[in-house]
Amino acid sequence: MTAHDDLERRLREAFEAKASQVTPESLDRDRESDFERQLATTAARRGPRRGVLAGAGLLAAAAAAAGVLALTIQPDDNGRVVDAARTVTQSSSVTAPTSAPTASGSTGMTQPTQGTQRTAQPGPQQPQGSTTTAPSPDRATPTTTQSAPSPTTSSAEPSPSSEPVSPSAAGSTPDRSIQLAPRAAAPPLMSSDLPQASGLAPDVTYDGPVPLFATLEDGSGATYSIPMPAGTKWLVINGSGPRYRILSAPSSIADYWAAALPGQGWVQSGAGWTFPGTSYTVSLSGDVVFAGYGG
Amino acid sequence: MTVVSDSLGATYGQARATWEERFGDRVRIRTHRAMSADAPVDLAELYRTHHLQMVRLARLLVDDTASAEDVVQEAFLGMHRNQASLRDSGAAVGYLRQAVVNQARSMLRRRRTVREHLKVAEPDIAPAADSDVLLAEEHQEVLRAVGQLPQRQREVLVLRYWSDMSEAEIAAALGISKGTVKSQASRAMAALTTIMQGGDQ
Repeated sequence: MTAHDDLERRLREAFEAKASQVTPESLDRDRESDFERQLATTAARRGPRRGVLAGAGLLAAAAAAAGVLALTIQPDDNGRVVDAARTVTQSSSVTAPTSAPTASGSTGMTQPTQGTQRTAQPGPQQPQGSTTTAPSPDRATPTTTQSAPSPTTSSAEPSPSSEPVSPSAAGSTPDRSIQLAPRAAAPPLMSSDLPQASGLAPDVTYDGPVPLFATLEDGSGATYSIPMPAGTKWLVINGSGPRYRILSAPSSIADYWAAALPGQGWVQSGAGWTFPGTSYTVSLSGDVVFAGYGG
Repeated sequence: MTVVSDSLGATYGQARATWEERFGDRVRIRTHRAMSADAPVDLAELYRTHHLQMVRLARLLVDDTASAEDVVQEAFLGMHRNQASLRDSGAAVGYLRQAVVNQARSMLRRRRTVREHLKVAEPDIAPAADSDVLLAEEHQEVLRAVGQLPQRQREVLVLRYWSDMSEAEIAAALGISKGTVKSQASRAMAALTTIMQGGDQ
């Protein structure tokens, strides 16, 4: 037996020994029932909606076709026929740099943020009158106060990142309101003047949204905002992962989430909320909020 | 007739369960490949038959059972989300394994980034309670050496010597060429030899 063969044998035996430590009894049985529940839920949801979705798809296709036709034949201001492909390209190139709207600090909660660009700050996500009482140590952020309408009334307010940009404002052709910039679905980003996940300090009381830190595909990090009832005070639980202890809340967090999270794209799943297409999870257990991966 | 059929089915089911428990993942892959390629993927069945093996695979890649279970759960959920595009039940195990490897890699990358960005809130990830201390010293030595290898080389070794996959299968699972698999395996074995002889890589 050569040294290589011997090493192979030792590798196989070591891997087998380690893998064998995982036994059926050592596994979390709840996961199987969770998975089966998800399968059942989706199956039940798919059935009756199939026809509706097919109809919606047909309508969308027809609308798109009509739009393309209109763009192709619509004359511009000088009476010339605008080349549709050229217009789209221009509009797209104008859209891209708009991904960093300034946060005014007084806008309402931007509910419909699904599709927000990850690199964009879609404006303050603070739901209501939240106050940062303890800014993160790595930011010299003074106490900031924001007032905003309730989540139920702010849904009509457009998110800055979803606002179409008029090419004419940039000295281009008339407004076609076409945006081709790719948009990945993600929760709203934490406003830059609120506590970021990277700067949370133990034993410091924060209020307002809690952060959800995520690693993006390119390896960079992003902090998403999980809305909380205005005036909710919390602190990070040191050494327990992305968990936050609620010190006080003026109203039911569960009820607040039920009103606020669906508009941001979150979906209720079991005892918590998940963001479709990701493993982001938000849940409340007693006075502890989890905002991270899995859960 | 129905009774006979049920009885045969039960017998087949018992025999298959015993067979699969005994021969593990490799045999099941071939079983699935023999199935109709057009049959829809039964994820519940896939979960029942492959969950344990996938957790074991993930455990070799991420090193603690809880994380391994997270990885596998996320892989199954990913398949569930993309079930509409899965029409080949014979290839489902391959997709699943690829998803597990990718999720394991993502988890390790996340850990690194979170450690950098979230030093306070994220717990230090110490060796798990189910770590290698219960293993024989010889196995511990090998696993410690494997732990010093680059991630890609570890993946290649695990898929080669635990999953018993061919170079072509490993290449497909990792999304790399066969030549890269061969070179990574060769470097890994050379590095292991050096490490286990007492030298550094």
